[in-house]
Amino acid sequence: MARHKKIQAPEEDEPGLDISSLIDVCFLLLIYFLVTTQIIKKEQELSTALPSTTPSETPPDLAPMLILLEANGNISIKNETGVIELLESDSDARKLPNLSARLDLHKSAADMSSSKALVQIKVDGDAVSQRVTDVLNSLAGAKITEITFTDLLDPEAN
Amino acid sequence: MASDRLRAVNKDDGESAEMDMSPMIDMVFLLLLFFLVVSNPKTIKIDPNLTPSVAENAQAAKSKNGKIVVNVRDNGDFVKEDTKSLMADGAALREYLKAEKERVESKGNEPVLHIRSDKEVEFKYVQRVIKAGATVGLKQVAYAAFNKE
Repeated sequence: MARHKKIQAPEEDEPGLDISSLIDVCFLLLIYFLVTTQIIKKEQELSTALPSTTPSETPPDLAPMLILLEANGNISIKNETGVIELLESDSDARKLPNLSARLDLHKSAADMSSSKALVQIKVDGDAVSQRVTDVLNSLAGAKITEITFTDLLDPEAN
Repeated sequence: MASDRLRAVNKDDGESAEMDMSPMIDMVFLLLLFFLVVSNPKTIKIDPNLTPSVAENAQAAKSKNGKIVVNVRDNGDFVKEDTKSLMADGAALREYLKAEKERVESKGNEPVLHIRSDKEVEFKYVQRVIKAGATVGLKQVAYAAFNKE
């Protein structure tokens, strides 16, 4: 019986890398960054063209809409008959439904006449930036990009 | 005879073939270090001293190249993109915009005036930046805004 017993070859020692400590460190780092990371709100932008790039050599087919923004946040437009019409008076409201509706109409009229929808904005210098952004936001919503600020010739604004 | 030789060549000698991964890992780390060193991601520095307005129709910038950033704080201070350098007056602002415009154009990018104004600042200060930009010939202007409160 003993003669038939197979002699087993000694097992080869295979060098192995112990990666458990590496994983420990990785998890520690992951937890550290999860705890300490502050998520910053991503900034976006509203793009417009500067007044100097809006040529006025030929009169446009459709008269530009004039938007008036007062220091107290009131937003008015000058309609086709030249009458100033107050549209928005709640300066805390970020959405401007009345202005947006008028801008949509203006944009539709421009599209129907195959011309560009032009808008001029006259802003009181004391109006806060957020209120101007509200107007620009409505313009972006109506997909109007041809925007001109009419107050850039203010002698104090230099 | 030939089949015997072939069998002998193909005979499994018991050693399993294992791929040594260490050179590949070395290369991966080298590439990682290389790209970490040479990459120059263009990001706009955020001035923590101001809070931009909110506009839900604001969109992500198509490209960050060519941006000339002016921060307008709530007290009306004009600050460069580095968030430290104040521009004392309109002349300094124009000088900065002109130099930046030339720098951007020399790289073949279209300059865009990127205004980061505090939501509470009076718009007359923003108007000054717009006017200074128009004076030096900047064609496009972008207003920084958050999508939501």
